Amino acid sequence: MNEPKSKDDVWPHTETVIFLTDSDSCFGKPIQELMSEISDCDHLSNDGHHQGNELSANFIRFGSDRIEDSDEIVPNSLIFVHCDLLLDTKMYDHIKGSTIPSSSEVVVLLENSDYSDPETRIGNLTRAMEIAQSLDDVRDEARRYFKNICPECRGDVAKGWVFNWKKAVYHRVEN
Amino acid sequence: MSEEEIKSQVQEAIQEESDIDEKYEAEFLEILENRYSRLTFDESSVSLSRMHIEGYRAIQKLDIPFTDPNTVIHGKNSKGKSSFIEATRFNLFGRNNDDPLVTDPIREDFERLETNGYWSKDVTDYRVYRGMEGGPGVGYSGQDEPNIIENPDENETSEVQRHTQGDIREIIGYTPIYQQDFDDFDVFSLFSVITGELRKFYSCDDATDLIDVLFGITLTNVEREVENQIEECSLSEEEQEAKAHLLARKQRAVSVSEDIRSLADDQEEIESEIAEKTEERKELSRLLENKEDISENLTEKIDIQDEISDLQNRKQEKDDEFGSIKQEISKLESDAVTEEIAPALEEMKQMVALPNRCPVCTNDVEPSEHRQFHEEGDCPLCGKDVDDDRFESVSEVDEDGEVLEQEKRQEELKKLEEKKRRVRGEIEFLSERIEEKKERLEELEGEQSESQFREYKQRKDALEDEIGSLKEQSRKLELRIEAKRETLHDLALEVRRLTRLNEQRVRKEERRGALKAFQDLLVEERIEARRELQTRLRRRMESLLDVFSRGTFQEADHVTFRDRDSYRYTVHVANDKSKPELLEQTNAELTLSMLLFHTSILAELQREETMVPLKLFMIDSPYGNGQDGENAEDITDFLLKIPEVLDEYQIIISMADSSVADQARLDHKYDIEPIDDYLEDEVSGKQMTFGDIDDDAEE
Amino acid sequence: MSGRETHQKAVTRVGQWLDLTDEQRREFVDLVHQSFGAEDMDFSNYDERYLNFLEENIFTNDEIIEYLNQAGIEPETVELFESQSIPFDEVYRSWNEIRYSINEILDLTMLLKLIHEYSEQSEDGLVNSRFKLQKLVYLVNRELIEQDRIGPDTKPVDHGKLEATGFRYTYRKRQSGPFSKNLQEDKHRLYASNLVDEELVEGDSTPEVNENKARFEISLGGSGEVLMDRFAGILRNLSTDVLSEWEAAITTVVNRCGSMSIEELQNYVDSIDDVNQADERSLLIRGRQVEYDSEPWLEVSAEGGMSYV
Repeated sequence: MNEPKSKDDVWPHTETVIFLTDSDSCFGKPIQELMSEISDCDHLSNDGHHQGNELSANFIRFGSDRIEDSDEIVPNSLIFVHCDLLLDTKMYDHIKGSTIPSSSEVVVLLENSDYSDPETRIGNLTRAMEIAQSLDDVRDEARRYFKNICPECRGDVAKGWVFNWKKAVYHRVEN
Repeated sequence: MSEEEIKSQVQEAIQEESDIDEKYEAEFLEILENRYSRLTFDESSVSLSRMHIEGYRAIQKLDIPFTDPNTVIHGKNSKGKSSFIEATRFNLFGRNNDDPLVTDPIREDFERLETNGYWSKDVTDYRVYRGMEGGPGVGYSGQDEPNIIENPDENETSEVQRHTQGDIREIIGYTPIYQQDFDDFDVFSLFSVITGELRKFYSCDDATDLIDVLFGITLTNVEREVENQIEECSLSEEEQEAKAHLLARKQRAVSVSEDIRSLADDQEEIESEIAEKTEERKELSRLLENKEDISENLTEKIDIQDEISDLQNRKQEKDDEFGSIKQEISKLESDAVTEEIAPALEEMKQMVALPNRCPVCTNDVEPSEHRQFHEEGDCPLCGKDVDDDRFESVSEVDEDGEVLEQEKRQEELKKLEEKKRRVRGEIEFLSERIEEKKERLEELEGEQSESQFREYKQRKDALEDEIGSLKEQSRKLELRIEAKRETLHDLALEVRRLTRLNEQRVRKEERRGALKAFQDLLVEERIEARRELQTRLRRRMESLLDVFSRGTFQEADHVTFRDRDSYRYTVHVANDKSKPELLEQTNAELTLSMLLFHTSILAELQREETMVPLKLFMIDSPYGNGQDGENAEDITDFLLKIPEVLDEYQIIISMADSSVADQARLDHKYDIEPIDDYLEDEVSGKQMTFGDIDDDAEE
Repeated sequence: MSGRETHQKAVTRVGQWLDLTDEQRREFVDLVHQSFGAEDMDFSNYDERYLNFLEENIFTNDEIIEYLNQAGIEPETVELFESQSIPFDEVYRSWNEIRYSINEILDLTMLLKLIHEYSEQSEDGLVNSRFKLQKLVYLVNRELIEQDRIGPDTKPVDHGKLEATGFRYTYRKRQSGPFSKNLQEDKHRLYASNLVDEELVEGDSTPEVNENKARFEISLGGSGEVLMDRFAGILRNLSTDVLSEWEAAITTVVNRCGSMSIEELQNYVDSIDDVNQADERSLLIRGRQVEYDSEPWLEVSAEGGMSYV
C-alpha cells in the first residue's frame, strides 16, 4: 500500500464495510440481504445528482475465526461488530489499543448478548462507538456514514476525512 | 453488673476507638449518659399472705393463708392445685390476651369467678380483688377492673372505686419493667415454673432482653438513639451525586474560561487595530481640516510608512514562526531515546489506560466499577479516588498526534529544517525590502510635492468603513464574551453549591462512620456484659448440678451457653447432650432443666443491687405427671436446696399426691399444706358472696 | 475553543445531545447541512474552523432555531444556540484513562519484551514462575551494571550502564534471593490490563515469597499478543544507544538462562557473591536512575504541516 499524499490520491474511493459476526443474520435479517439493502444507497449510486461522486462500497463478513488476521480488519472504515464478539475475542484488545484507527467507524450490534449489561460494557471502553439495536439503527448508521463521506453532500470535507483515514490505515498496516 | 462499670467501660472504649474522631467523643458520651440507665425498683418486698378464690375452674371455694415463707400445697389430682397458681396469676394480671386459656376458666356452675389476693408490702397490706364473668362466645368482662383496698383490716368502709392494672403494678413494683415495654405475663413467667408451660419463659421472644434489663445490661436505648442518628446521616440523592457533578462543572468551567481568554485575545487584537486606524484617520482629518497643500510626496511618505509597518508586522510574524519551528525541531531532537520505539510505547500507553481485572483476587472489573471510574474518577479496582496526575479525561475528539515511526520523524525533521530555511529566507527578503523602503523614505524627506486632497479624503472614508466593521466585530465578540462570562458565573455558583453539598456529603459520611463505630462498640459491650452474666449463671448452674446425684443429671458436669445473642444453654451429660427443646414438656428432665435455669437466674438476681419487689417463686407439679421415679429423688433434693439458695424469696410449690413426691423430706424446709383443708366443696349452685373475713359489699 | 480537531459527527452529536428522537435527529442533521451554502463547501478539513463555522453561521440560523422550538427543545437550550455557547465538551463523549509516565511505560514495554522473548525460546512457551521472572530481570540489570557506563554517574557507587538504561526496579535480598517489589507491581499492572496472563499451578512451589503453595505461569495475554504482533519488529535490533544496550542485556540473559530449570536458576543466582554475601533485606542493586519523561508525542500545532488523524 502506498502512502496517500493528497486527497486526489484517495479518490475515487471504495468504502469497505465489514460485518464481524458469527451469526448469519442480523436483527432477524440474513446478512447478505442486509448488505445488499445498504449498498442500495443514493450516495453510492453514482446516479442523479450523485453522478460523478465516484463513491462505491464493498461488503464483507467475517466470523470470529478471522479475527487473527488483523491486517484484514484494519483497512475497513465502517465496521459492524456483534457485541459479544467484540467483548470475547481479540477484537477487544484491538479496540483497547490502537490497531483500529480512531477515524474508522465502529458500530456495535446489540442483540442476543450473553452479557447482562452489554451497553454499559461497551460504553466503558475508551473509544467512542455507536450502538445499533435494530435494523433501523443499522441502516441509519450506514446511511449517515455514507452521507458524511459523500462529496456531493458534504463537499470537500468528505474527501478530507477519507484522506486522513487512509493515511492512518497506511501507518497501521505498514507499521 | 454495675451500671457504673458498664458505663465506664463504654466511655473508655469511645475514647480509645480510633474510628471515632475526638470531635464526636463529647457528643457520644452525652448520648450514653442520657440514654443509659438501669432499672431501679423500690426497696420493699411484696409477699402473698392469703389467697381467696371462688369459681375458678376446679375450685369452688378456696381460702388459704401463707404464714411460712416456703409452702407446699398438695392434694389429689384434679383438686385444683394448678388452678391455684393460675388464679393467683389472674389475681395479679388478669386474663392473658396473648394466650387466653383454652378452656373457660369460670367454673361450670358459676356465673362469675372471683379472686381476692392478700398481699403484704413491708408494713402495708393490700387486698386485691379481681373477678370475671361471661363465657366463650359472649365474651368476658370485669377482668380489667381490679379493686385495691389498702390495709383492709383497718378500713371498715368500702371504697367503691375502680383501680387499674397500673395501680397493681405499682404495688408489686413491675412498673419500671413495664415502662421498658415488657409484658407482665412474660415477666411473671420468669418467676414461675409451671408444668404444661415449662418453656413459657425460656422460649419467649423477650427472654434475652428481659434478663439483660434485670441485670442492668440496658444499652438498648443508647443503641436506638445511635440508630436514629445514623438514619439522619443518610445521603440525599443530591449529595450522592454531588461529587460527580462537581467534577463535571469544574471541567466545564475550565473550558469556558479558556474560551473567554481566547475571545478576549481576539478582541484585543481588533481593538488595537481599531486604535491604529483611528489614529491614522485622526491624522488625516487634521490634515483635511487645514486644507493645506499636502505634498504628493507626503502621500507617498504615508504610503511608504504604511508599507514599512506592514512589512515589519509580517517580518514579526515570520520571526515568531521561525522561533516556533526551532522549538519544534529541538523537541524532536531531544527525544532521541524513546522515539525509536515510540509507537510501541504509545500502544502500551493505550493498553494500560483501563485495567480490567484485579491482580490480587483475579476477578474481572464489573461494568459498574468501570462506569464509576469514567464518571467520578474512582479506581476500578479498589474504588478509592484516583490521584489527579494518575488519570486524564479524554474526549472522543482529542486526537493525540498518532505516532509515526522513525522514518517519518526523520522526514518531519527534514521538512521542518526546510521550512526553517525557507522562513529564514523570507525574513531576510522582508528585511531587505524594509531597508529599501526606509531609504526611499529618507529620500522623500527632502523633496516637496503637490497636495492630493482627494486621495486623503478617499483614504479617510475607507478607514471609516474599516473602523466601522472592526467595531462591529468587536461588539459581537463582546457579546459572546458576556454570554460566556454569565455562563462562567452560573457555573461558579453551581460549583460553590456543589462544593458545599460535597463537603456535606463528606461530613455525613464521616459522622456515619463514627456512629457505626460507636454502634459496634455498644454491641460489643453488650455482648461482653452478657458474657460475664453467662459466666455467673454457668457457675451457679454448675454448682447446683452437684445436687443431682441419681437421675439423668447424675453425670452432668458442665453447662455451656450456646451463643452470645441469647441465654440458651446446654447441660452436658457425660455421654449425651441434654437439649431442652427436644424433650417433651412433661418430661421430668425438662422440669429439672427449667428448675435449674430459673433458680440460677433468681439466685443471681438476688445478688443484684436492686430487684423486683415481688419476690415470689411459684412452682407447679415439679414431679411432672409423677411417673419418672428415676429423677424424683433428685427433684426432691433440688426442691430442698431452693430455699437455701433463694433465701429472700417466698416459695410456693403445688404438687399432686403421688408415690414419688417425698413430702416427708420436704417437710424439713417447707410448710406442707393439704389443699383439702382449705377447700369448700359444697355444690350450692348459687353465686356465693364473699364470705367470712370481710363484710364489705362488692361491686 | 481550544485548538483541537473535531469530528465528522459534529452535527450528529449535537443532535444526540438534544435528545431528539431518531427521526427528529435525522431531520435536524439534514436541515443543518441544507443550511450550508455552496461556498461553505470550501472546508478542507473537519477541524476547529468547521466547528466555529457551524457555531457562528449555521446554528444561529433562524430556520434551525425555529426547528428546535417546534421540536419542543427547552428555551434555555435554544438560547445556547442563539448565543453561540453550545457546550461542546458536554456534547462530545468523554471518558477517563489511567496515565503512567513515559518512564514507567518504557519499563512496562521492555518487561513485556523480555517475557515475550523468553517465552519464544522456552519449551512451554511461557515464563514458568514469578521466581524466574524476578531473577531474570535481576540478571538483566546486573548485566548492565558490569559494563562501563554510558553517561555521567549520579551515585558515588559505580553504576555501570544501569545509570542510563535497564529497568528502574530496585532489588533487595530476600530468602528467595534478589526480589523487587516494584517489579511485582509492574507485573500486576500488565496482568490487570490483559497484557500478561497468569496461570496458577496448584501443588507446585518455588522459593519465591508468594509461590510456596502454588506456582504462577506467566504468558502473554490477549492484549500482549496484539502489541507484540504489531511491534515486536520495531522492538528488535534497536539502534539508539540506551535501548540497544538494554536489548543486548535481555538477549544475553535469555540465552544464558533460557533452558535453566527453576532449581538451576536458583543455584546460578545464589552463586553470585554479591547475593550470597548480602544480609537479608539489604539493598542489592538500585534500578535505572535516569528518567525519560519528555513527551515524544507530536502535538497538533496551529500552524500547518503537523496535523495527524
